[in-house]
Amino acid sequence: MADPRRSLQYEAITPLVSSRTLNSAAAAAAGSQTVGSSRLPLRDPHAAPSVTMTAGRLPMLRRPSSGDLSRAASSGIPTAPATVSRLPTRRPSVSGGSELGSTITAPGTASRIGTLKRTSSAAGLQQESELTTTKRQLSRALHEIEELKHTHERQSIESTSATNALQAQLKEYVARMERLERHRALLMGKEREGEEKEKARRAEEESRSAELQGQVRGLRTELSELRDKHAELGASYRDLEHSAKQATSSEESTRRRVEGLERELELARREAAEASSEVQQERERRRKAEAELEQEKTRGADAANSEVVREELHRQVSHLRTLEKENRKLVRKLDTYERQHANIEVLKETNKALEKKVRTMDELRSQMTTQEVELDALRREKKDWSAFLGPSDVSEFSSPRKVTKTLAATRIENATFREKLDSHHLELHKRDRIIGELEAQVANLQAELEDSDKALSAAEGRARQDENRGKLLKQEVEMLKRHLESYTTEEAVNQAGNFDEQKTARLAELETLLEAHKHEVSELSKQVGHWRGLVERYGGSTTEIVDLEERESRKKGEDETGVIVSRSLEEQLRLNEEMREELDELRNANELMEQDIDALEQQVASLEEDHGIRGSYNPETTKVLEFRDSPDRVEHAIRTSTLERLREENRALMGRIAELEGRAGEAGAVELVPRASLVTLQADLQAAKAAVQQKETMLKRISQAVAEKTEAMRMAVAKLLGYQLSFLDSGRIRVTSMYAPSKDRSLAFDPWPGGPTPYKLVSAADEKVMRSGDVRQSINFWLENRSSLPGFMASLTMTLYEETTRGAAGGVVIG
Amino acid sequence: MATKRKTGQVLSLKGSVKMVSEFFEYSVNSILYQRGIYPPEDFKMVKKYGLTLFTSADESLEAYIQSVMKQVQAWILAGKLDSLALILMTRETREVVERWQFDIEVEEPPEVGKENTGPDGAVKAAKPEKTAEQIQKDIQDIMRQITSSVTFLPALQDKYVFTILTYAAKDTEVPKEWIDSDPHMIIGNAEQVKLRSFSTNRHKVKGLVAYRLGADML
Repeated sequence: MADPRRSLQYEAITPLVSSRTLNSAAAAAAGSQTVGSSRLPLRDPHAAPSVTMTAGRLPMLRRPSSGDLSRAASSGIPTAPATVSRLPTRRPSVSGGSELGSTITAPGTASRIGTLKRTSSAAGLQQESELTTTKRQLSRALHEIEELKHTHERQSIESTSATNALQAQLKEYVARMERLERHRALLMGKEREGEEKEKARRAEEESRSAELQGQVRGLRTELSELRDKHAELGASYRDLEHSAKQATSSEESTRRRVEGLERELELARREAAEASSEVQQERERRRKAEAELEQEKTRGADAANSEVVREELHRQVSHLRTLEKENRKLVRKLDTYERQHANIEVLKETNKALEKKVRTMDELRSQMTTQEVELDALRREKKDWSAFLGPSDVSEFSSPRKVTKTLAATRIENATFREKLDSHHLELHKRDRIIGELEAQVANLQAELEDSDKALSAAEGRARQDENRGKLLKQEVEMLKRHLESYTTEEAVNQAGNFDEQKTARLAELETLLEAHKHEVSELSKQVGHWRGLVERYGGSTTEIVDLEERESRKKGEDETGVIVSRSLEEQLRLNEEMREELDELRNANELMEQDIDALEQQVASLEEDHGIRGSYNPETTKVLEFRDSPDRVEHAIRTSTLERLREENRALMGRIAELEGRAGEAGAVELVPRASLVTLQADLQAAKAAVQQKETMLKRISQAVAEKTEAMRMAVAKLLGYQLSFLDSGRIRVTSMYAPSKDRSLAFDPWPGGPTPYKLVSAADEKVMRSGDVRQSINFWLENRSSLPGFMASLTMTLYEETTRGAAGGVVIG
Repeated sequence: MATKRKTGQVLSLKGSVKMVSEFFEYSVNSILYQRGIYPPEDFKMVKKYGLTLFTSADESLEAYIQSVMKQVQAWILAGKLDSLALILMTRETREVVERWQFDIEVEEPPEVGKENTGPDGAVKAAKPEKTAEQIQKDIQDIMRQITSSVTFLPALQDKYVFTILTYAAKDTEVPKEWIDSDPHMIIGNAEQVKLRSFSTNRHKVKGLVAYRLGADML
């Protein structure tokens, strides 16, 4: 029960006791611990004392790694394992302790069991011997037990002694602790006292410092007061001094003034006397004047005059009044005029705008008149167009397009008709020709007919002759028949059936001849009849008749086959005709369509153009939209607002100018130049200046560039040819060689237009160059004989170069 | 199901709209650069369509084009936009000197379901679908043409401003930022040249440039 408190006390103490004392106290505790209880390593200085107190507390205070220690404690060996556990080696000690116990008991019991088994199976001797052995064993065991008891006792004694020692130690500790406690309490008391003292001191100090501060403050205020006082005193002193000075000076001045005043007084007195005398005189004069005035008044001669004056005054006053009235009226008028003027300005503006509008209107009107003229023309045209259109044609000719379309159609039809007509004409011609031919044929035929008529009549005559002859012949035949009959009868009568052979033969022959004749006659008569019939029927030429006859005869032959063929042919022809007509129609339609297509293509092209260029659209279905803040609109808005502002400004300025002009007109000055023109002139001037500036800078740049270039060229010449050139104003060129002994020695050349060389050597700045023999020689050689400047220059360079190298050594100056 | 399968190949409507409006944006920028409406230092180079193009770096201009394109996109999506026109006019007189017009035609997307199965697949195959590469190639050609059109267009000397007009259907809903405008036609002699066209299978865009002929060319 003491340890927690102690540990608590430790913790309570730590803030009060310095860490060093605490450490030393702990070290002392640890030291005593190690002294008292073997070499157990101190895990925790606070827990160490509790280990020594009770073994049961171990698991609570020590780490779980020592759990087997508590197991050992519960196995019935309360103290020994505790001591064992306190042995130096941690690792085998605890388990070794428990093993020790088991090894002590186990062998004995095991052997005893083994011997018991043997006795049950063996004889009594053996039992006895065994008994003895067991007795011996028992005694040995007892002995062992004894021994163990001894050791146990020893151990217990040891442990008690150890516990005693520990208790003594503990007591010592406790005593020490108490001592320390007391010390501490004492120290605490002291400390508290000290603190209190400190506090008291501090409080004292504070109070003192407060007092001091108060004093300081008081002193400071006093000081400031004193300072103020001092300042005041100083100021008053200064004032006094000043006033004293002033006083002295004023005294002086007053004295002087007094003197002056006295003098003045004297003067004034004198003056007063004079004045009084004057006043006296004046009074007298006045009295006199008054008397005079009285006299004048009584005279009253001024009455009329004053009347006139009064009247004049009246007149003037009234005039003035009228003038004022007039003035007021005029002012009012002026006001109205001014107002009107402003109105007029506005009106002028509007007028201008309206004029502009009117101008545009005029333009529009002129445009309209032209349009009207055009419209009239168009109407006339339309009338012309529609002159031949009846009211019934409206549907067909409702639009020019339709008109032109029908026109085109009719044209095409016309063309085809003409074509047809032409073809008909051709056919007609052909027919005519055929008719002519036929007529000629007819004439021929008539001639033939006549011929045949003649022939016919001849034939008729012949026929008649033949007939007659035939009649005659018939009569002859009759007669001959009768002759024959008579002859036959005669014969029959004469020779009674005995007739001449010859005679009968001759008879038969004659009969056949007769028959032939008869036949011929009948044929002829038939033919004649036929001819007569034909002639009666046609009454025409014989050839035709022949033709007809032929045709008739032919027809009769061909009729059967020809009828069918001709019929189909006719049909074909008819069909052909129809087809041709159809073809024509189709061709017409085709042409019309082609024209239509052309027209439509034109329309499409124009519409496309409209679409692209004019941006036209169908307002029925579409609308054109624009973003409100498009750059164009923004720009336009800015421009219009600017214009408006400028217009406003212009108007104001115009007003101002008018005002100024009005004022100037009042003063009778010349007309003012409009400010705008001044501004424009100024702007022009500015622009001109800027242009001049630009030109100047350009010129400067150019000249700079030229100078740089020439400098570069000069440098190049100097470096390459060894001569420095300088151009003089007179056109002379001064040439200085690089190797010239001094810079002011140079040659000069003048332009020499007509000479053998372009430049002429005009002596040198110093004649020493000329005096050199080499130089003179080279002049002679190069210039006079060969007229070569470059050669001369080169030789001079050579000479000078040699001279310098040589001249430096010889100290001779050439150049 | 078939349509879902095919969307990877056929451009969707939104994709098409995006492509068209993007084309408008770049072409407008390109025209403004090529025609010198704004100084060249106001433009920055970008790589697009496999070309080096110029787009404006001027903030207000960029904002204007962006807001126009946003609305244009909405209108194309709704199928309300007929055409878009870029108008160039002189600053002083507001006379129109050039009109760049792009007409948009809505095309029926090929019916994907039938194409593979039906016998009319052969007929459809006659009009092959355009791949993204093909479309890009077409756009590239138009961009090239815009660049090269500087050679035949009359030289511009004065100061110019521009505006963008949209030709939308009559029944379109119009936001308050948009107002009706006149069509800004070219007055006087003019000429027009058709540009190439491209199609996204959904929209066909046909370009056209019309320009005023100078008085000395009469």
